[in-house]
Amino acid sequence: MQAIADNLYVLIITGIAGSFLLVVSFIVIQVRNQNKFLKQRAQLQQVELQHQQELLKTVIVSQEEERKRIGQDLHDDVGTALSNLRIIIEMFNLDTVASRADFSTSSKRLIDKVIQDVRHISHNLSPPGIELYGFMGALEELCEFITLSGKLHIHIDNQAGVAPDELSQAASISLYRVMEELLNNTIKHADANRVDITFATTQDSMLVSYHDDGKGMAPEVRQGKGMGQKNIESRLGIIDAGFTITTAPGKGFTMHITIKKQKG
Amino acid sequence: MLPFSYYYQAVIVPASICVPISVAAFNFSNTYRPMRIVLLYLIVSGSINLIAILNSHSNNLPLLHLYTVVEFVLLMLYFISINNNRQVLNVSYILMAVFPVLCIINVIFFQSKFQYNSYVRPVEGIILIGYCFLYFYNSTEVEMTDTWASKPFNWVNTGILLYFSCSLFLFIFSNVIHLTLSREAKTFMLNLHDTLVLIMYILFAIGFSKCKRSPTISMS
Repeated sequence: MQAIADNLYVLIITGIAGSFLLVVSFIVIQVRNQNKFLKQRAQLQQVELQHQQELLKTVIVSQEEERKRIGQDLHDDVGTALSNLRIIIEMFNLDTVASRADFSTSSKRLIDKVIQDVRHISHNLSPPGIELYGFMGALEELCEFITLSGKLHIHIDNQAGVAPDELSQAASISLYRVMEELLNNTIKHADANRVDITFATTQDSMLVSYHDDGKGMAPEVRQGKGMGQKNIESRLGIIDAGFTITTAPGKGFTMHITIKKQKG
Repeated sequence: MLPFSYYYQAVIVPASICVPISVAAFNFSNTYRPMRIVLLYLIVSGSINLIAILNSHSNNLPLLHLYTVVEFVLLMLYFISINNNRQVLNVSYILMAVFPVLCIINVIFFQSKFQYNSYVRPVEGIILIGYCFLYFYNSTEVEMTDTWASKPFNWVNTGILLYFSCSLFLFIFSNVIHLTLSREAKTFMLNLHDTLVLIMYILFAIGFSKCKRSPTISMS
């Protein structure tokens, strides 16, 4: 009987110790997991914040670069032409017939150049084609211009009907700029011959697919995003559009953009 | 001179209930319904313990039968107040009604009021352990915003889980221990039980100290 009692004593103590160990382990694991999760989330938020700051920095830098370029264009083209015009006016001699004819021709030529330069700068600032011909018209004009320059052959396939022209003004301009940036990147870096731009539509979004047959790039190159790509990301972020990029060395570059259709 | 165990069981551990009650009173303006139920449980529990100590010269086990019912009902009210799930609430109300009836049936037909209620007290323990695990399970489902340690319910549920899990063997074998073990072994077992109670009170006190206004109820 004593042996049974001793045995029971040991069994109960063992049971209590086992339960204690189990509960403590359970709680420790729970605390550890929860803290780990919170730490990971904080890290993720930090990365996200850093990314947002980088995008903001890109926007500011791009804006400054754009201003610098406009200033330079105005100074170099318009300013120079107007200075030349001033010299011509100063040198003009009313008495000679030859000088009068020269004056008229030179002045008209310079004024035409100023008009063309101003148009060029203003076109760069806000593509007039979007307002006049809609998004597709403006894009076709841009592609035609590049194709005519012989740098690239661009093929547009619109399976989305009027959907691209129904985009809001902000979305149209952003998408136009993204296309401009993509084409610019293809010309500068891809060594491509052909670009295919496809527009398609689903019930609630518009899909834009951009593909060039250039040399593509390795993932590690893509990680170090350049200013152009950050610009694209930032512009698409502003209009709440999603995108995916597929590229590999020798496989060209493909970007799929999804833009949500505006309701109502 | 009385041994240390006497002071430990009759003075130190019963008096330690004042620690969570004091913390709760000090932080009362920040406490909310579930924590106030825990405070009520501590006050009722302390009062019954005090009566039991004052009646320790005679068999005070009938108080344990009453204590089991009161403890179960109050802790169930606590779990109900931190629970939003309709089905769980329905089951909780049924358990709250059925368990006291079981205790009465037990005392009438199975175990005398002068014996340990070793049939119903383990049942109580198992149910409360289940509710603790349900709380921890659900707390992983909701979005975590604060650290584990900053949530008062985590501390209270850990206290309940630790006490009832470890004491389960003592509850099951309480009559056997009383009848078969030596006096020293019984004293050791009681000291062990009282240590678990002490740990639970300390965890409750930490829980009360963590109370802040606008809590997030983390069970669904």
